[in-house]
Amino acid sequence: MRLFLRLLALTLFLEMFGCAPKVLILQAPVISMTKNNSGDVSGFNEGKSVNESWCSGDDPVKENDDGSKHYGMIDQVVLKAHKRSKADFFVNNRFYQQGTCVLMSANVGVAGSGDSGKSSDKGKTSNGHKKKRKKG
Amino acid sequence: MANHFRNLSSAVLVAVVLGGCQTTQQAREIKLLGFEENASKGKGGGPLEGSDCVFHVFGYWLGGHPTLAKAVMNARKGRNSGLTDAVGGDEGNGDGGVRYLNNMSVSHDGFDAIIFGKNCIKISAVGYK
Repeated sequence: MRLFLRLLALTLFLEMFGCAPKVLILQAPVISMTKNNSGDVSGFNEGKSVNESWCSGDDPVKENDDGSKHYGMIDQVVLKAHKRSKADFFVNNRFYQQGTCVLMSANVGVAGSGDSGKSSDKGKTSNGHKKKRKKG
Repeated sequence: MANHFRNLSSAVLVAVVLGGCQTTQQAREIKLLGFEENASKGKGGGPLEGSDCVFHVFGYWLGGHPTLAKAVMNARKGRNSGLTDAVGGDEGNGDGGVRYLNNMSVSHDGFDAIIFGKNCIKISAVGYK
């Protein structure tokens, strides 16, 4: 029994400190949790690289609209990247699962072709409402 | 020591019951997932569903576990997976489908009848070309 507990503790320790395999779970050229599309922008240039992670024990970056406590790890890691980079789109996205964490490797999407960043969503919030401009 | 451990366990149990259990899955609801760099406003807007399922017989999984990537590719093609996927019969890359998905929600489905079971990842979304 004592040996079993030691092995269990060792397994948990190894998994928590980076010995769990890193598995690619999803690739996507473009992803966003704030916009439904890029409006008139038909392509993106690669901006600065983004590397984020979110683990199942972490506080959610955004609570679910329905109030449930069932979170999507990719959702949360992308929301975290939005929050940190202030970008609306990410390109060259790769999501890996390692233990109870999801790691995101991507680039900020910078409007590259089309209408040079003028999207139909410009000036609107993610809800489609117009943003209030600050005076001064 | 034993008392201390018991008190700590009770506190954790009470916290879980009062606070509600936080659970996670790989993805839940993603607003925009683009399959091409061009995610400009598209046409269509039809509902799409896709899934990746794997069967198990006597505890042996036929073809590994279902993956989110396969479920997404099946959703792009607008079809659900069959047994052929489960045993590795379909390696389609999903080209020719929609350009991007909106409000992609992910759920898990299946059953386990001990000697036979099925485990699925299901995707539902709105697809645009």
